[in-house]
Amino acid sequence: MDIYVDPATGTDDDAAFRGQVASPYRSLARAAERAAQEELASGLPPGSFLGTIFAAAGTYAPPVEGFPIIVPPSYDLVGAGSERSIIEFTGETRTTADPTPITYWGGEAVYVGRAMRGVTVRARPAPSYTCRGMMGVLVQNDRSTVEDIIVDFDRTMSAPPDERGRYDLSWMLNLFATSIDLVLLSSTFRDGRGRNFGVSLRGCTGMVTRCTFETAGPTFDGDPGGLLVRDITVRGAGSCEVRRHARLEASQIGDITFSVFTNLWVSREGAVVGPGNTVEAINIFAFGDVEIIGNTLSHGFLFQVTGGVRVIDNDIRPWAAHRLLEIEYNPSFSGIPVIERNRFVAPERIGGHYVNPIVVRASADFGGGTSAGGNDFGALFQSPSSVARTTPDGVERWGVIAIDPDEAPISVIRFDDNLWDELYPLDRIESSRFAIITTPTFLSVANPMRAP
Amino acid sequence: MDTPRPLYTVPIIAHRLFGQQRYQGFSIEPGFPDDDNPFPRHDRGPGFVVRGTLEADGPPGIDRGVGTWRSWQEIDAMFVADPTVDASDGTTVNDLWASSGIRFELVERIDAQTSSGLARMLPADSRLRDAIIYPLRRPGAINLFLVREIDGSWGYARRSFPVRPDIIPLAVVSDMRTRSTDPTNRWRLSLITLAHELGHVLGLGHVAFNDNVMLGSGTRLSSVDFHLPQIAVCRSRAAFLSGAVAPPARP
Repeated sequence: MDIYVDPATGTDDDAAFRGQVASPYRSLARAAERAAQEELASGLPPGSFLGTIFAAAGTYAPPVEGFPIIVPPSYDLVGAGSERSIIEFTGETRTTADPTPITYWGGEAVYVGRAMRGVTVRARPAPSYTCRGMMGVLVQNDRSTVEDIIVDFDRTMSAPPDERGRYDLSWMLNLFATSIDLVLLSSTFRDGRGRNFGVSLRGCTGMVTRCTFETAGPTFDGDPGGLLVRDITVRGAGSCEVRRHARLEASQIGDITFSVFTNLWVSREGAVVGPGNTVEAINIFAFGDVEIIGNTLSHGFLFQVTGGVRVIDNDIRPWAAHRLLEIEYNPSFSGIPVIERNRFVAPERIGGHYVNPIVVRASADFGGGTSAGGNDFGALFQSPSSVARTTPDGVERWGVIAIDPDEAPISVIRFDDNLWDELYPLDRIESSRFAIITTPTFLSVANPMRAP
Repeated sequence: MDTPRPLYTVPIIAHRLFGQQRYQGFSIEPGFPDDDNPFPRHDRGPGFVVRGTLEADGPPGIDRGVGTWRSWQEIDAMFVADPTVDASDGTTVNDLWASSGIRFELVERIDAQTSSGLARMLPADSRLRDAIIYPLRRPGAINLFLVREIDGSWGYARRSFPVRPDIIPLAVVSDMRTRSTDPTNRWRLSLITLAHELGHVLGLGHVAFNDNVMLGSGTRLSSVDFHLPQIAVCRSRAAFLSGAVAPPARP
């Protein structure tokens, strides 16, 4: 049985015909209660489809609307479009039926039933109220679909954001889901409050695509069934995390024209970034058994790799850099990084610390071990800047690869079979391209080839 | 809506959390080994002597003097009415859940141990709590831990969709001795807290209604109701946890 709601013309009463298209309910909470009544009476098993709650265009807000709006698991909630059906959570639960003023203490504004489409869920705290500590949308059921929704914050209701773009009174999380299979598409998440997290998918499988995350950082944490994240845009989010069996591909992560920078974190077993991502982060951190394959990586400060990370077929071209790549030592992460067939290009904007474009502080395999080599260092040492040092052959160039495994008890560092610039004689490459700060257990730079 | 008979019976494994006894064959005592002072006329400040080994007597046993005060009889009475139990007023958590068509059944009773300090009070830090509790859980049921105190709350639970094989539902409830000195109130508050945490396990978040079990701002004697949409959410999970409905195939 479908249920209709219209905030302008509807009525919340117990009439038997209420909820039909000609006699809609006024509030979504009342419609959800009716839907629950139908679902409980049906006796159907979980995952069944009983009907849709249709939310007409308009604004659903207290005192008429009540929260939370718990759409039961057998029902869809479908609005007139995310720009037209607006659910406003004001932080208070005072309604015409219950005038006692209360502010929320944790909880969720909207529970997704079977699917949710075409609505905006907006934090719009009333004076002296807050939405902090609240989740905007909870996706609760296996095989859920969320499409064309916006979860954001009414910026006019708040003081300006802090230096990280966070609004103090906004959602703690715009959307979250745990341990379910879901499809999240064509949706926008903006202006979160929480610790850089706007959307949290934990232990989930399924797909996220065509979504935008703006100052509402996403965490994509999959499970062995796989979580595919494709064609998304993340801007101004403090962090974008890709973890555990989640794969991020064909997406734009970070935007250097945006006022708030994004960090990209790739961690835990089975996480994959690539192919086809364009990353304009401030930092990229990769830990453990993860892969970064086939991307254009442009960062502003650090690209740090720890443990058995595989970095393959990437174009590593920072927009400004302290380090193009740093291999870090951490005994908590086993494995040796495999760096293969990447192209390293010196940044156009060079900061004052740009001396060692690559720093190796642990065992690393740039070629000669598992890695087939093929990394192109041809454009790594050439600087377009006038700030450069003159080398014995009279050519301006920048930096050396720093070898400094001072904490690693054993360090095997291989740079075999790679492509180098032709400015130094290849037979001197080991001495001319490296600064040995701490002597590694083993260092090899065999079979250097000229870059094209 | 009438839902007098339980549609789903959800199994519960109850764990009483206790401390552990001292190692009998091992001790750390103040002082110094007799031959360990090359400068006997100088005060070396406090020192210690290790005597014995950890392996001497095997692992330490459970110290039931530290941890929850709840007896098994009392815990049983939280699920099945037993007016003979002193602490009980004859009501159960299943009375609070009766309108939902969901019933909870205690299927296993376990005395678990952790360090005595943590058994006195579980810390507020959720990562530390998880590190203590998670290894003690058993699959196939809601794992309910009865503990003496929890820093900052009367109970907590993990909400997660229960169809994945690696998801083991968890709820923790304190003794609530410091919540109320009145035994009747304490029993009632214990049941409401237990019902609240089981609500989390079955998918519910907090609400702001004083009469609702899922009230988020503290346990109150009046917080005893569920709304229909809450019941619908809980039933969809109870269907899986009770074994009445097989979980969907993994993608």
